[in-house]
Parts: sequence; structure tokens; C-alpha cells
Amino acid sequence: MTVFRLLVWRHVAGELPRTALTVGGVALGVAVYVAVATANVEIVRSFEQAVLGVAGRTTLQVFNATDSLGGFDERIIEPLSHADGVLLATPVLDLTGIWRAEGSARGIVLPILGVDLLAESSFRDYRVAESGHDNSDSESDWERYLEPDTIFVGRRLAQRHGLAMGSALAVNVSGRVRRLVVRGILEGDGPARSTFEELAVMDIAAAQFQFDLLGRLDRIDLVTDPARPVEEVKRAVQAFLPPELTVKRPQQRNAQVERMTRAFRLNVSVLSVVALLVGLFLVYNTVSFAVLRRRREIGILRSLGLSSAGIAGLLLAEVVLVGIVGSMVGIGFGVALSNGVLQTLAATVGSLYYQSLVPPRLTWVSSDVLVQGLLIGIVVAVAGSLGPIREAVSVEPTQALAPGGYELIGTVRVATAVTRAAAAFLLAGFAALQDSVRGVPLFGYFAVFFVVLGFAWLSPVVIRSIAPCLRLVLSRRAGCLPRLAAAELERAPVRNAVAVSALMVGLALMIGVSVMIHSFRQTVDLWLDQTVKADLIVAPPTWLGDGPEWALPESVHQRLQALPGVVAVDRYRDVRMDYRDRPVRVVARDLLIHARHSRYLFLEGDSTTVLTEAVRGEQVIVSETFARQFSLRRGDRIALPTPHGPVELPIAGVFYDYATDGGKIVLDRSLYTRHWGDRNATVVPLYLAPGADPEGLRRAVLERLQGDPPVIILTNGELKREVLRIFDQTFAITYALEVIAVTVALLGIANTLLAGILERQRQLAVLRAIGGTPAQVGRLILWESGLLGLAGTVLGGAAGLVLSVLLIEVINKQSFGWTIVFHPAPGVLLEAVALALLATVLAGYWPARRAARLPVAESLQYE
Amino acid sequence: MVRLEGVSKVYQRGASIIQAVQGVSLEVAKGEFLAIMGPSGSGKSTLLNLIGGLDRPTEGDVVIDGRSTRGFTEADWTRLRREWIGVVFQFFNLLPGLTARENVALPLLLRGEADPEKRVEECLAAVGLAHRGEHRPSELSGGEQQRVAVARALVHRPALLLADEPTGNLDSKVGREIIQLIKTLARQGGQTVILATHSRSAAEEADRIVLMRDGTLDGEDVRV
Repeated sequence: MTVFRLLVWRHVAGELPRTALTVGGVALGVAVYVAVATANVEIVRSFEQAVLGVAGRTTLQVFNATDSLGGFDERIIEPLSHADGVLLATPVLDLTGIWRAEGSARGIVLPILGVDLLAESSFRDYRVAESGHDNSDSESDWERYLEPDTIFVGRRLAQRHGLAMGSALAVNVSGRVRRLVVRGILEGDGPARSTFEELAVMDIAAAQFQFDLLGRLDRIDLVTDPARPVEEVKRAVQAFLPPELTVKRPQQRNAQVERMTRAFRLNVSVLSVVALLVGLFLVYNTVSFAVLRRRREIGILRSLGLSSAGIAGLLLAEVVLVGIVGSMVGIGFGVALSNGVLQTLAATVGSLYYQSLVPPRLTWVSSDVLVQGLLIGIVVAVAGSLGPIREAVSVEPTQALAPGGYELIGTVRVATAVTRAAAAFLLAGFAALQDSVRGVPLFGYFAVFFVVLGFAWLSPVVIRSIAPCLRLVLSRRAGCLPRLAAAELERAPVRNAVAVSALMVGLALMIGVSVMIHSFRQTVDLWLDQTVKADLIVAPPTWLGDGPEWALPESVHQRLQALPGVVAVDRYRDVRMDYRDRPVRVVARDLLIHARHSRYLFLEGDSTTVLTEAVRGEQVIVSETFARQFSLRRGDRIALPTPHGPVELPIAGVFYDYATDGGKIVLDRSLYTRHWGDRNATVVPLYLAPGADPEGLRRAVLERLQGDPPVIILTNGELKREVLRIFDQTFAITYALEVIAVTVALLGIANTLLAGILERQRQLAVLRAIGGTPAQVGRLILWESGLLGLAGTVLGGAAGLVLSVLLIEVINKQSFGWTIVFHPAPGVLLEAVALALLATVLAGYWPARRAARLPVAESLQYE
Repeated sequence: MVRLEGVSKVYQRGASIIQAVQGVSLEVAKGEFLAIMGPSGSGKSTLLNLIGGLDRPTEGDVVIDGRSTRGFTEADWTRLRREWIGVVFQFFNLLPGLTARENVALPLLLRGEADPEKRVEECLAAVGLAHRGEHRPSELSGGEQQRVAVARALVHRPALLLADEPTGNLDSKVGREIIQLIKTLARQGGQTVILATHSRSAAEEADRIVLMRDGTLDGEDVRV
């Protein structure tokens, strides 16, 4: 302990700025990791809670095989409750209401669960906390509960919208507006507490009556015999059900969402790992510097009989300590950050996967994530220090004791560096050509890693070439400072290469992701322009929002068809179905109208021809993502569940689609209504006559529909803007991560410069002693900073472009299956480069000031 | 040329106070070669730092060329060093990233001179290293490095040359050569030299020796 205090603690506590920089490097990496991991875990957990919590003691759930049919007949419940192994069966309606508070223009989405109130206690853990009476189980209470206008609202929901006992709400469900009265505030118990407190509940009979759904159910929840295996009962129940119904375990829905969002969550996690990588460089930097400073002390300890292993042990103890402190700080920041990340992620997952999630607010932090954060911090600290520690123990005591000559002895041979870089690039190329591993672009990430490694190996080469290049470019009139700065960088290639690599990684990530997003956005923009041709889109108010979707009844189509100025009215029906146990979107529309007025972009074949052929041959067309996910191509057949059993349909063509990553199947409306009997539309696109005024027609549509059902109307431009807005929201999180990575990199530059200043304090004092002004010394450091920035920017720019190609062609394609057209985006590139250069000069500001203020006489004595 | 009037320098190191220089008064004439001799820790280097403006006296005044430096700012001192003073150190203190030629050129470049080549070559030739101009410090011997340092100290033709233990890191033969070199070049250039050393043989090359002990001038000047 004494040795530790004398030789380790003294440095940790005595060199606070350096310790703070190392701790900061670890902390930033850990913070980003913890924030992202916590948010990721919370998303899956909150969904799990929503499904499992609401499922309560339910072990099996019966649904429609597709969500298009508007529920199913409740009469099945009676025989079902007698099925083998079923103990209890309770009916459920899953409704989405819209409630407009008085004076507010914005509708509030209200998830309403219609349940058998009398049976609920056998299924779910929630209770009426406020009923207006002390004893909420009194008979009079029950009378009021069962009144048809009674609604219960969750506590959080009530608090958020100012609802209390007796509040009256006009709730709109599928166009039917009903006045309901709050007769109880719900409180949840157990893990699903927050889920219940965000819900509204009605008695199922009242809900069916109020919203014209008599005899219809959305779901039946079953409690099965605990003595029997659930899978066995499930098979028995499935055999009992008509083909349009399916039975699942609640967990299965979770697994689906988990799988669906896995690629996206993994991508975000990988970005967070990049922040760790940058943190690693930062640790390398500060520890190298610490070792340099202690060279003489190490020499003395060696000459006093401490072994190399002993020295390594002491230094390791120090970095582990720093790693632990850094992790703690990082975990603190990470948890604080995670709420913000969670909100962004929840919104993104919501818009990407059509899942409305439970409140995007952190309620719980996984202890696993905290332990991971701690371990990762320590690993980063130790991994970052291994190089410098090896250097430290390999120095002979006599060498270490010699005055002056503070520099890492590791010099870098250009040929070696280039060979290693080439090897890394070859490995990257090889990894990029490999297939995904169960939908995860594992080799793609390896390719990214090798690319980064390759460019990191090139950094000493670039640093070496700065001085000769400067001599060529700068005239003698430019003064001696730039040349002096270049000579200084060249002298310490290892230390500077690490700083340059840190910046390179940060910048490469920023450019790679920006170019990928830009390319993606351009591709989507182009795709929207070419495929979304409808002039007006009539949609229910929940469309494109985060709640479940409403459908428009067929009457809307009929009423709009005769509208003057409208040449064609499509009916676009978008429903979810399961295909091979994965959720996909099935779109039914009038393909002939679409062929005439708009188009799909097919991988092969002309839109009109393929669409006409699909209608004539009763075929479907599928999205590229769907085809890729299930390895299907034109001519293959797919089986879809219908109320009358599965139907097999051939694929007429594969089209580019960027609306969803789960995959999309499109078929003609006549084929769809024939098999599924659903005549509703999700939206009604209108094509206007040439020269017709969209604004005038928007008013005409509203007048014609008279608020029944309530709709929103988007013009073509508005829809495109809305899609791009959702797109931008989806990628908001990646920008935040980039900013963090670049910040860490800049800290690295500042750190390197500071290390350099302390190390050559005497040299800088000599400059002052022979007539250099403080300003000149400051400018020298700024030049060094700028040149480091330049080297990092050149490498980062190149690495970024390579990374963007990997992201587009490998990682994105394997994760999501989208074809993105590469757009190099010179604007984005220039912006990133200018930002990086400016930021590096800024990073040099503080070190420059410090250098300019060094006390000359004292620094001349500095060893 | 240089006059010290009751100059003292006190350093505070934690709780203890170190009196590095105590009430030193001294006058150095123009063109004179003065050696300050004393054991290690006697305050020689501090005195030299005070004369060169690398450090400020706690008390007293350093008068240079008839001008009191009491009100001097950092910029005044920098200007003075740049125009007027050359410095040679014990550990040579050449910038390792630069060649010998670039090191010698540095004071002129810092003054903004664009074409210092001719003068640099003169100085390198004067110290006998015209052929080693492209070598880096690590490729030169200790004696050669100190010659480069002397060339650097004289390249801008300063009126005053401060040499702080210039032989301290050299063997005696090379040390003697360096002192001879300084003496010869200073004579040729008409420079005043103040040499701090603990070497008797180096000090004996000077016109006058003052002895220092515990921060004060010890006894009479010795005329050589």
C-alpha cells in the first residue's frame, strides 16, 4: 500500500490536469456507451413490459392473422374457453381513440383497452385508485363502472392531460365521436405499472356498444393450465381456430420487435463503440506522456532493484485506477445522457417500425449495462496503456537516467507502416465481401475496423510528409514557425500519430455517416419524386404518427370520386401481416390506376408493364428489402394468411422501397378484397386534372367529407416533406454520436499538444531565450495544432469516404436491405473538413496560451 | 555595459524561502570578458538569468547600456534579447528537429529576416562547422553541438554574450576549445562576455573573475 501511495497515487493526485484528461477520455467513451446501451435496453424492456405487462397472467393470445379485418367474431370465445388446457378466456378490444381537448387544435392519441372488467383481476395487475368513493368495491361503484359512458384513465395519462374524476371527453374512434366520463383513475402494480398508467380502459360491452363494434373482438387472452406445457396447449388451440385467426405467446411478439429493431439498435451501438475507440487513443496519449515524464523515475526504480514486471505492475495499477474513476464518471454522465438518447431512439424506432412505445422516459437502469460500462472503461484504459507501458519497461535503466531525450523510443519506419496499412486494407476488403451472419453485418463491422486501423497506420507516414510538402508549398517569407512546427511533428511521430489517428477516426465516422445519410436522403428524395405522384393524400389523423393506424371506410373513396378536378382516386390499404413469422407490410391498391398515374421503380422491368402483368396474372410485387430478407426473386411464390386459409401468390417484380425496413408486399386491390374481404383504405390518394388547384381541392374534399370521418389532407409536397422529416428524425441520433466522437478526438489533439509542451518546456524556453516572443511561441503551437489537424483531416476525409461506401454497400445492405445510391456530397465533405480544421486550431488555443506563458528561467532547468 | 545594483532574488518553494542571489552589485565594462565562478548552487545561473531578463530580480536593478530595466515589460526584455543578447547553455539546447544550419538561423528567423543564409554560413564557418550544416543535433558530438550553440548565440551580432556553464557537459579538452572559441569570436565582434562556470581553467581565460558563494559575491575581484 505504501509503495502504491508513493509511486502511483502521488502521480494520480499530483498531476491532476493529466489525470483529468485520461479520466475524461475513458469517461466520454463509457458515457456514450452507457447512454446508448441503457436506451437500447429500455426500448426493448418497455416494449416487453407493454406486451407482457398488459398480457398479465395471459399465457396465450388469439389474434387475426392480419390486422386488416377489423377484429373477429366474439362467438368463438365460448367454445375456446372449453378448449383442452384453457382455464380462462377473456375478450379484448384494442382501440385507438383521438381526444381533442377543448380549445386545443392537436388531437391526443388515447390507447383504449376494452376488457371484461369483472374478469380482469384474474388477468392483470391494476386497480382503480380513485373512484370518488372511499370503498371502490361498493355496489354503487360497480353500477357506475358498468355504465356505457364510463372510461378509466391511467394516472400518468390523467396527470399529463389534466384529467380528473368526472372529466368528460369527446373521444373519436374510427370516426365515431362519443362522450365518455372519467369514473376512475388507474394505478398499475408490478413491473408493468407504467404501462397501465398510460392506458385508458373501458368495459368491453360499453366499448363495443359505443363504437359500433357489437360482437367484434381484437384479441382473446387465455390463461392456460399451468400443469400443461404452453406449446402443447397452443397447438391444440391453433387446431381449433379458423384460418384467419392465429394464436401466439405474448413473448413471441416481443421477440419479433426485438428482432425487427435489432439491426438498428446494433448500428447505434456500433457508433457508440467508435466513441470508445477514440477514447482509447486519448488514453494512449496521456499514458504515453506520463511514461515519458517518469522516465527518469523509472530508471531510478529499476536501478534500485524494481523489476520490469514491477514497473509494469505499478503503471497498470495506475491505469486501472484511472479506468475505474473514468468509468464511474462516464456511467454518471451516461445515465444522465440516456434520457435524451432514449427519446430520440424511441421516436426513431417508432417511425421506423410503426411501434408506439411506452413513454420515452427512463424508468430503470440495467445493472448489466453499468457493469459493462465499468469493465469497458477499465479495458479501454488498460488497452490504451499497453503500448506506452511496454515502451517504459523496455528502456535500459542507464538510458532512462540520461538527461534530456524525452521521447518515445518507438520510431516508425515508413515502409513498415505502409505494409501494415496495406495488410489492414486487404483484410478490410476481404471482410467486406463476406455475407451477413444471421442478418447482422458482423464482417462489415470488421471491415470498418480494418479500414480505421489501416488509416491509423498511415498517419505517421502522413506526418512525415508534412515537412517536405510544406517546404514545397510555403515560401521562405511565410516565416520559420510553420517549418519549425512541421519539424517538431516529424520528431515525435508516435505521439503525434496517435493524436492524428484519434482525429482521423472521429472525422472518418462523421464524414462516413454524413455521406451515407446524405446519399440515403438523396436516394429517398429521388425515389419519392419518381414514385409518389398523387397530388393530394386523404388520410386519417393518426397516419404517419406514432399511434396505431385508422382505416378510412370505402365511402370516402366513393364520395371523392365524383369531385370535379379529380381524374383518379386510388385506395391504398396498408396492413401488417406475418410472413414466416416476421411482420411485413402488405399494401393493396388499384395497380392499374397506379400504373397510369405513378410508378414503382423495379430492379428489372418497366413499371407499367410489370404492374399490368401483376393485375392480369393475379401476382404480387415485393420490395427489395423483402426479397433480400427472404431470399426471393421474380417468379417465386409466397404464401399469405387469409381468413380462408393461406393463399399462394407469384412475384411479378421486385421494386425499390424505402418506406419500411421490414419488407413490403403490394397487390391489386381486387385480389386483396377477394381474399381478405377488407374494403377499407388506409389513405386515399387523389390525382388531379392538369392545372387543377390543389388548395382549392383540399377545401372541396374537406367540405365533401364534413368531418366524417375526420381526415387530414396532405399535398404531394407536404407528404414528401413529412417523409423527409421522419427520415431526418431517424438519423438525429447518429449526428449526436458523431459530435461526441469528434469532441473526444479534439480533446486528444489538445492533450497531445499539452503533452508536447510539457515535454519540451525547455525547448520552448530556449526559443524565448534566443529572442522569440511569447506570441511567436503561441503561434508555433497553433501551427502544430493546425498541421496535426491537417494530417488528421486528410486521413479522416479519405477514411470517411471509404467508410461511407462500406456503410452503404455492406452494413446498410446487410442490416436493412436498401439500395442506396452513393452521393459523395462535396458540401458535406467540405463542411466536415472546415469544421475539423477550425476545431483543431481551437483545440490548440489553450495549449498555445500555456506555452506562451511558460516561465523561461524555470523551464530552462526543466528535466 | 552591464551594472547590477543590489540585486537579490528570492524563490519560494512551498513553505521555505530560498535566497538565490543576495544584494549583488557588479559592473561589467564594454568588451570585457568576465567569469563568475562558484560551486554548484551558488547562484551563478540565477544571476545570468537576471542579466538576460529570463528572470526578474526581487530587489535591485539591472542596468544595461545605461538603461534601468526596472520598468521593463516582457516585450522589452524579448526585444533586448533579440537585438542585444546571445545565450549559450550547458546542455546546448539545440532544437532537435532542426538541422545545425536551421538552429543557427533561428534567432534571425524569429526577427523576421527572410534571407539569413549568408550570415549563417559565416557563423558556421567561424565555429568550424561549415561542412556539418545539414546535420541534426543527434548526429553531432557534444563539442560540435556546443559550437553550433555558440554560432547561434552570435549570429545576430549581440553586444552581450551570456554563457552558462558552456563546458559543463564537455570533456576538458573540448571545453577548453569552446572557451577559446567564445573568447576569439567575442574579441573579433567586440562583444562583452559574462561566463558562469565552476571550472577554474575556463574562468582563467577571462579578463576578470568574480567568485560567488551562497548567492553573494565572495571577496575581491580577481584580475587575471
